[in-house]
Amino acid sequence: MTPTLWGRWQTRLLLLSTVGLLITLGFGVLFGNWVTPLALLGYVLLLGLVWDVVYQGVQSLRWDRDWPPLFMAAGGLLEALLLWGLVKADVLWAGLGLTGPPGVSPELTLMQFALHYGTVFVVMFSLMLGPMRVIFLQWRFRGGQFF
Amino acid sequence: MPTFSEPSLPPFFEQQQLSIGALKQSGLPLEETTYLTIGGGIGSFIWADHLVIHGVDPATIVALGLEARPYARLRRLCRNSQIFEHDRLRSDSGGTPDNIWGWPGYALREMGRDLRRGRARQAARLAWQIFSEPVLHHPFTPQAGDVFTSLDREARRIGWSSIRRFGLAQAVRKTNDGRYVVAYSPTMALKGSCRLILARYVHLAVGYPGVRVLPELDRYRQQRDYRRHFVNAYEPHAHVYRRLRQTGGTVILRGRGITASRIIHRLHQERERNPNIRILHLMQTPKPHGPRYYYARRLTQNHFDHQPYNFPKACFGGDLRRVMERADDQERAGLVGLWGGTTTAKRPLWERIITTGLNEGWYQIRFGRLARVEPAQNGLTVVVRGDAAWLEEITLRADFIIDATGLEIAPERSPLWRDLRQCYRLPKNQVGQIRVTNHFEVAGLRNLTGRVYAGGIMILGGPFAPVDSFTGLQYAAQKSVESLIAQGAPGVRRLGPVRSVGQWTRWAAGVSP
Ligand SMILES: Cc1cc2nc3c(=O)[nH]c(=O)nc-3n(C[C@H](O)[C@H](O)[C@H](O)COP(=O)(O)OP(=O)(O)OC[C@H]3O[C@@H](n4cnc5c(N)ncnc54)[C@H](O)[C@@H]3O)c2cc1C
Repeated sequence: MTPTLWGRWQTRLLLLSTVGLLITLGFGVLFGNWVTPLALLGYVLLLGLVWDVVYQGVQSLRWDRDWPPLFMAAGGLLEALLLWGLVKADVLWAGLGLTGPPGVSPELTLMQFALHYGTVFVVMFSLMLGPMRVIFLQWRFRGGQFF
Repeated sequence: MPTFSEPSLPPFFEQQQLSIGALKQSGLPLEETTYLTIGGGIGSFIWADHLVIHGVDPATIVALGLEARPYARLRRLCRNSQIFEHDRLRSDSGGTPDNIWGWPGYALREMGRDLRRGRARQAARLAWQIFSEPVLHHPFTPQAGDVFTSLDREARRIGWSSIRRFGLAQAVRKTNDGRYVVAYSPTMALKGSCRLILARYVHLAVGYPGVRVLPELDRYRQQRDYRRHFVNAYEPHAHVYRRLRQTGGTVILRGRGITASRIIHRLHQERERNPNIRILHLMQTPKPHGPRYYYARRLTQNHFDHQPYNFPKACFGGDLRRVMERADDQERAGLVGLWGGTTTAKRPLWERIITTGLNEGWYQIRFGRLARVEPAQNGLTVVVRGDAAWLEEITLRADFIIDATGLEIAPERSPLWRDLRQCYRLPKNQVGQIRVTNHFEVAGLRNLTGRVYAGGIMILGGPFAPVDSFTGLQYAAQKSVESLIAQGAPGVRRLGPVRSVGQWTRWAAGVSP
């Protein structure tokens, strides 16, 4: 599947709000804290909408205008690094009079973050490489768009 | 490839619309069906597969064609152009003509097979290849044999043997009750053996009309002296390799697409047995760099244009697919020329062969046209006219000329399409192929509730660029099924997520749809 910008946004929204949400709720139980994983999921979605514009720009520099799995994985890693950097950007939040991004507990450890983010990413990545084509017959032709 | 003589049609086929009464009175054997696909090749198979999976009763589908297996023609063209069962084709892992979803792809299936045979390292290598393609690794492409075997399996699953029947279609006409009648010959002998079949929905996928021979070269090929020395890459020419293996010699190669690459590869294999084989690659013009599309440029090396598939990947389902669908006829023709054209795939082995050949001198590139060809003892004398500015003309002795410039695509060269175009004045698109709607319908053939759809190379320049590919044939089938659903055609039901997963599960289990 070679995504369009609308396709990226729609697929991101759909996957995060279904499987992403389920996994997040699971981690909520595991960590005994619902708010932090849900807030993180929200940030992944919001920041992702911006990232997708960047990805689409990079994609248009390629003759094939494709988005290889390696780029998907690299994108996932970059997003994670940026998000973790933001979560721990204490100076920035202190400047805004906050202890951290709203909803995210200051006690969040890197391990917890990596586990949660990693699981959501790997499941979404695997779904996009195959099963999504089976569930939505036209998805692969429409660059990930449903409408 | 079979050649066709002019059909002998019943006289009343001269009219544009035939009455059912006249058909019945003609005394010719007459049958009826709902869905009819003409060709019986990959395109027909994919269309029938879509219909059956979307709920149509296979007993209401007929596929008319000349071969029992849907891939018979493709396999023949592959073998002639030196792609054998273990060689790799030119589509991605998800180009699966046996599976309408495109998953699991051939890479995953090959990995499964490797694992079952205990070849874990090989499986891991494949996994890495599909993960890192095309950035760190050249793209995966399936083995021809795997594609054919998978088609056999799907053919058994959907009951293809009772859907297909032998028939050389001669003409299609509208009937006065909103259907179509197809006159066909049940044998390859055309004279005096005509049958008729009525259908409400007709699909045409007759593939390439034949091999292409450049006009300036055609007259040489007509003469007996040249025929064995002057071959087309898509026709049987194993004798060339046999002779070269025994005695060595010089080959002049025309064309710089993927077939030319494969022929060079094949000649290189023979060189390992007889190093006395030389290749002179005759190209019309140099190609220092590839075309540009906005910020991107196609890679060019050694005057070969490189891209993994016959069109950029996004033409199969990304933003370029949308660009093509939204473009007008004129723009589409420009885009087909820009994105498509003659290209080959960048494969490390092929690159090594060319570099070694150029360095060692047994592979050389010349620019120019074949001006004259004359028979010489055991070969040909060839005059090549180079760049006009230099008034260059060189005379060479060659043993063989292999023309790999492609296949014929013009609708006029297909007797069936020629007849249809003449009868209904069907418009062509700017590429010169048959014009279709975004749902792959031939609008000029619409007949009340009856519809005619088309797929394959005949509609190049339409709403989808890579129409002549497994994925393109699937896209065309899917769009025509969407249009059938919208009209309430019998048996076709929408494949929403639940039914789609259900049907896929049946595919995976090998159970009939
Ligand atoms: C050498 C080669 C390699 C290719 N490799 C790939 C690849 O790797 N990946 C990819 O995606 N695509 C590939 N393609 C492109 C494409 O998938 C094939 O061309 C495919 O076979 C097209 O299907 P089709 O149904 O249009 O034509 P075909 O499969 O050729 O079928 C057409 C059939 O119609 C029959 N026919 C013709 N006239 C009549 C008539 N009047 N009545 C009845 N029957 C008739 C013919 O005998 C033939 O069997 C390749 C093509 C070629 C030539």
